Amino acid sequence: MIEELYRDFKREAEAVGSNVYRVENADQALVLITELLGKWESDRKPQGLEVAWQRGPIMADAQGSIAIRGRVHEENLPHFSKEADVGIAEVDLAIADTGTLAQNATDVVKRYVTTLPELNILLLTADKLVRSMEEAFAVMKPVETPFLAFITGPSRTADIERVLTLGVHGPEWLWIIFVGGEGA
Amino acid sequence: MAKSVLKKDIDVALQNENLGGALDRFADDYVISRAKAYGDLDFQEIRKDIIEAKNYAIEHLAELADQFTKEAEKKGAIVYRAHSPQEVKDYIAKLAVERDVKTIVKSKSMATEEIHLNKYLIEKGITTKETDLGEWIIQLAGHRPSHMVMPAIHLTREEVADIFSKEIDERLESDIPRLVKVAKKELRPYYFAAGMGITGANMAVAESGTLVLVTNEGNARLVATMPPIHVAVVGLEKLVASIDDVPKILKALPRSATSQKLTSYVTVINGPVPTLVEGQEQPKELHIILMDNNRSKMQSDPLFKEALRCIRCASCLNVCPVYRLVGGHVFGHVYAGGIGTILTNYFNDFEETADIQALCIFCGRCQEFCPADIPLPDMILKLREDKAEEEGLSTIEKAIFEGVMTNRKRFHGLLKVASKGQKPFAAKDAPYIRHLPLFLAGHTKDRSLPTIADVPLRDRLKKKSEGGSGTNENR
Amino acid sequence: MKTDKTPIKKVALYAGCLIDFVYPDLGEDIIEVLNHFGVEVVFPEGQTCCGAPAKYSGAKSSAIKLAQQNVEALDNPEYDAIVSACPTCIIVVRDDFLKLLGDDPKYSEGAKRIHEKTRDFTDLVMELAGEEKWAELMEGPKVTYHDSCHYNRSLGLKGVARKALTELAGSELIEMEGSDLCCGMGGSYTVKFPELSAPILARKLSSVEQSGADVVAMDCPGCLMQIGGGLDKQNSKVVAKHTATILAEALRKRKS
Repeated sequence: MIEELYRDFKREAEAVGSNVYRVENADQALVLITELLGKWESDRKPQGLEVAWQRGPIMADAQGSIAIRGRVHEENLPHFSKEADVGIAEVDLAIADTGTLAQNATDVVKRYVTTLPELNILLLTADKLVRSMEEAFAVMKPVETPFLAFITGPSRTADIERVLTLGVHGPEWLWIIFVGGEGA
Repeated sequence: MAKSVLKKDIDVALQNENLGGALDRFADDYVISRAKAYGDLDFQEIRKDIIEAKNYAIEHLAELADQFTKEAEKKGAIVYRAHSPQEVKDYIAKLAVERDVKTIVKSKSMATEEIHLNKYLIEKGITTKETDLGEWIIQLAGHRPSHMVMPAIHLTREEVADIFSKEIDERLESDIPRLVKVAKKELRPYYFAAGMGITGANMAVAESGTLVLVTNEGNARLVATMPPIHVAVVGLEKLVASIDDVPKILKALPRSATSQKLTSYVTVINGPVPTLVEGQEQPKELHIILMDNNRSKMQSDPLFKEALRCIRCASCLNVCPVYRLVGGHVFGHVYAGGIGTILTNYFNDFEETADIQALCIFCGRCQEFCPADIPLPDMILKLREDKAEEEGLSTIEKAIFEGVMTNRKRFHGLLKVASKGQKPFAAKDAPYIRHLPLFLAGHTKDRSLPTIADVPLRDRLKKKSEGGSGTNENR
Repeated sequence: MKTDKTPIKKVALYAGCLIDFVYPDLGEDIIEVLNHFGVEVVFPEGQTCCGAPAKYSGAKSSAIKLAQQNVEALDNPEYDAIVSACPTCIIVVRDDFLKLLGDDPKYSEGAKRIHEKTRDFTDLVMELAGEEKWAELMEGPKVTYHDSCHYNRSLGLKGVARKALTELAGSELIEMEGSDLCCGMGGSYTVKFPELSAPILARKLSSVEQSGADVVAMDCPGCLMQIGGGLDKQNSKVVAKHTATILAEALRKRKS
């Protein structure tokens, strides 16, 4: 079931411009992030990326930091998010039908990290996959959570001549990393 | 008078090749991309759910408004019940003054467009910045929206480049991704400078005082996060009874509006959220303005109350053969197209506004695509009837209907005269009139008219039955 | 005849202005086809314009007067059905008469009876035809079908007409793009806004031409006037015909 959900999620998420990855544990996630950002950095910002990383329970045990030329900030995140190229945060749930992530974003830091930088890396555990929005509503407490965010791909607009453009006020790139679970 | 203004506006729109091209491409693409987004989903089932949820809300509108108010206040929001546009404007202006707000950022809200909020605040000396790309474009251009979802659809990229170039005083290429980056860069500082953020809401859940925002650009998230005050302006028709109604509407809204399975962002807000003011965390001030502006008047009309089911997807515009030709500035005021005709009638004053309901051709395509199955043609026809009753018919129409058509013998007699009188204009080789003279020439410009038959059906059948063979002969 | 409702033996033909005064041949085609099924067709002389032009101009009092005149002409227990081949008329006769006269003690019963009896011609034909076939499939002309707005959206009969054309008349049916897009007639709309009616028609004509069909069929005389007139203006080889005409032609061919 989880395999089917993951497959559907990946397909839907990629269709809206997200990149989807899967690793076995937090350490592997760190390795992957380092690798991907290293390439990103040399392609796009050789002078060094600015990264705002809100390390949550998933990545708490990952050893070390992200080895890139630029700077990785884990403190004072609202401040650093403003100029950061990359925002890394953790989310709570994925919805397979639409390639959507759900995050209890009441914590203001989560919101700064996920709305300001142009590249978002969002992590979640592989068992947090559901089929539909209805199921997500049953899990996520939509009548209580002060700020409940559903994220489906990068920000976008078609306001000029209906030409789809990714990356408007929110992120232009969204990388999703599932951590743990079977068959990673 | 209104009719000739309309005619002129139509001409201007039809001559505008940019507009025509944009609308044409859109109309052709929309049906295809929408079908793709719906895929195998059963549109009729989705409609059923939406109709049920919205009808319940409409029947219990006052009750739900009270319940929403109570629940949202329990969570710490301040809820203001505004009856008129002026009350909304005064409330926001007063709040801004009291809190010493010099700059406001806004994300897209048709409700605020409806009451021309920005104009009012700017006149009061408060910088009010639209952050939704399409809304910002038209704010800079000084235009009204021409579409409920894509307000700047009537402009080409070159026109947008010109508008942006003027704004930032730098010659810009009409490269769309570049233009979008310009918008992002220009608007970004305002989220932090603003003392207040104003959003709309797509849904307001009564049982829990919850707001739901359905967006794509990311600006609503910023508007609802950074400034210390968040004001949400919400029309009463956005109310739904239960949180379970939200996924039902979400099934249709993105698919019908922008052919997406889901928008990039769906934001669910319950009460004030933490915010940062000068690095210090504090709870935001959340004001929710529930706006009436004649929505309860609509609710009391057995026909027009069905228009309160509208989820603002704009599919009716997207499939309308007339909207496609003239766009939302002609076929609309603030709201455009089929639903625009109805909403404008209740939410806005008419006066010099051209009589847009005259533009409906009654093809019914709007209703076919409406996720809430709103009987738009029936409603537009009722508006037409009401108008005819109020203003009376034109002299010609009066003569034709009351003078001729309701008198059968006179009517048929005149047709007989016409069948003789048309002879000089009838073609020799086929039963057509290909060229009418003088001021009537326009009527045969694009298609030939058929001739009136020498002997109408009724006379042929009469002849036959008098001649003995009858109309009921089995051959 | 296959029907599990009232057996249709005698019907009143409600022609409507266009069929009565502009396309009387079409009226005769309708009668011919119905006669074939053993149905007697009468033409109540008191019938007059259904009032659709008044309706769509908001002229309610005229619409009421015309409704009354027509109820007087059509309300007759002898008629098993009231048959029309104009969808706009059908909606007015079947539904609007009842709405307009529902509170009028003199006419409300009559309007109700008419509401229950009013039928579309092609729909009735398919009911009567059962398994009959008048031509082998693909033996008939290459036909593309225009879904008239009221026929499709208000009466829901888009499938019925196609079935009649292929199964009864053996037409080779080729779908055009946007078959359900409006032709731009809109009744009096084409007179009030010719500048809008024309581009809408142009799109329809283009789809018709591109379909490769020889004939464009439809079940509405208003569309027939608009599309037929447009094709004539363009000197097109494509001919516009009402479904009733195609059926009558197939019937005649079979009998000859």
